[in-house]
Amino acid sequence: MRLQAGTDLISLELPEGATVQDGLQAFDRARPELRSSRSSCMIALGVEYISPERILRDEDEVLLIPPVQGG
Amino acid sequence: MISRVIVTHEPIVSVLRLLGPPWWPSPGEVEEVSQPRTEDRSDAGEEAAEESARVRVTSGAWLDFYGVVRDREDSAEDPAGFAIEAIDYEAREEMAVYQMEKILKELSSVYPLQAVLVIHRIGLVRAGEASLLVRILSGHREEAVRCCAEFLDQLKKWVPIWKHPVKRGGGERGRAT
Repeated sequence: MRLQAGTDLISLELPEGATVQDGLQAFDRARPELRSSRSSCMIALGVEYISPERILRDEDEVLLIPPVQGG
Repeated sequence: MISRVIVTHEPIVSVLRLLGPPWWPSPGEVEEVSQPRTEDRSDAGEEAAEESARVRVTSGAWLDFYGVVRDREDSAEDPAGFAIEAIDYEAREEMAVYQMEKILKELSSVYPLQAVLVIHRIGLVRAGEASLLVRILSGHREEAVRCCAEFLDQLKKWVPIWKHPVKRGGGERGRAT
């Protein structure tokens, strides 16, 4: 996905009180070609997975985690 | 429960030797198996050394699971697969360690474990080499076997590590990110 996006960071401006889900929708609007890859990702903040209902704060860096393959 | 999670570029055996007791050597490699080992190589304090020695004589089950890189990459979608010479593992290291520790904490509340060690290699791991070691010490075999299976299922669901197979003869296929 990082290769497809050509970057490992995409910045989005969201209104105050926006949730992770709002952020994902904004992401899909900004980069519609990544939507299919994005939809298979889990969402994390720091080292924790987070729920789509979580309210985002300024400067939060949301991680899109593609299906994992450890072992 | 003693637990340790390591994500490393180093071969697993090299890491094990540096860890010392209770993780190394395994009971099968100790000549005097009845002697608790608290040898000099441990850099832990006295209390930790005593705990380590106690674990070694109270764990009736010592289970090792090694995940080893095969020379073929295949899947349900691509059963024929293709020949590979290595897998290049990529991880979000801090998150991977955190998530593995979290899984172990949850499992230790279900199973009476004495000690668990997980070492996951990242970077280039050649076919025939181990990419993963899960070493579980418990009083009896059942909890060790069940816990190991559950840990592996959870690892493959939650821990941010990805495989980049390196095709034999050069080239890569199956980049996940």
